[in-house]
Amino acid sequence: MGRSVCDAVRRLAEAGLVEFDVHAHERFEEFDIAEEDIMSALENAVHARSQHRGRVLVQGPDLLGYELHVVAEVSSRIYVVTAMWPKEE
Amino acid sequence: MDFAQCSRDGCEGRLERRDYTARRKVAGQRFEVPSEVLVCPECGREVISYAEAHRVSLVIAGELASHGPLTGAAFRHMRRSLELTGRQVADVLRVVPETISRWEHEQQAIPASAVLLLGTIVLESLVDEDGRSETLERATRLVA
Repeated sequence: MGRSVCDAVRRLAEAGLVEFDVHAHERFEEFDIAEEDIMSALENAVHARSQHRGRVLVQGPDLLGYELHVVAEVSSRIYVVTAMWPKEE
Repeated sequence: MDFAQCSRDGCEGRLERRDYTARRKVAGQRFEVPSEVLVCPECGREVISYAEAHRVSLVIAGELASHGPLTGAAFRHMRRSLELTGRQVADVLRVVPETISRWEHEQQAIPASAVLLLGTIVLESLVDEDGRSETLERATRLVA
């Protein structure tokens, strides 16, 4: 699954087909996570593994190159459920 | 970009636009930016598109560029809102990427010239129809 999902994530992100859950989006600042860093992690995704309820954990670099984890549903768009720095998981 | 249909698996709902006020606290200051979200009347899913979230981010960066404060957190927000990597900013400012990280984490004072340059790029991006900045393009050319 990893590689094909990673490819799909990168392709959708590069096309701008990314949306955030509004409630999750409102909490990003608590964790000092910017939408642009999430976009960077998705566009440059290096790893993706499936989780429960059809969600995917995507790992990729933020704009400074630090690893960021993004939980999302991937269909015709990427629906971002949450994001976190690895140490916070 | 098609954001007309709900993205929830199996949901046939058509998304509706709704006014929304994005509230953010950046560099110790609170901001409220008029925005919009997309709501599915079928399943209740509420989303904000990346394009809209990014626009909100750039509007706040514009306020920081105009009024300060000249802090690491403000610098970080402006850089992120421009979708610039640490390496890109470091190249333009002729420093190493680690310096950008130290500035943003307030481990080292940021030269006023660096904040002013980044702020100029933000303000130009805000008024340009395509979000471009002549200053960034010129600086990138000069240091290439």
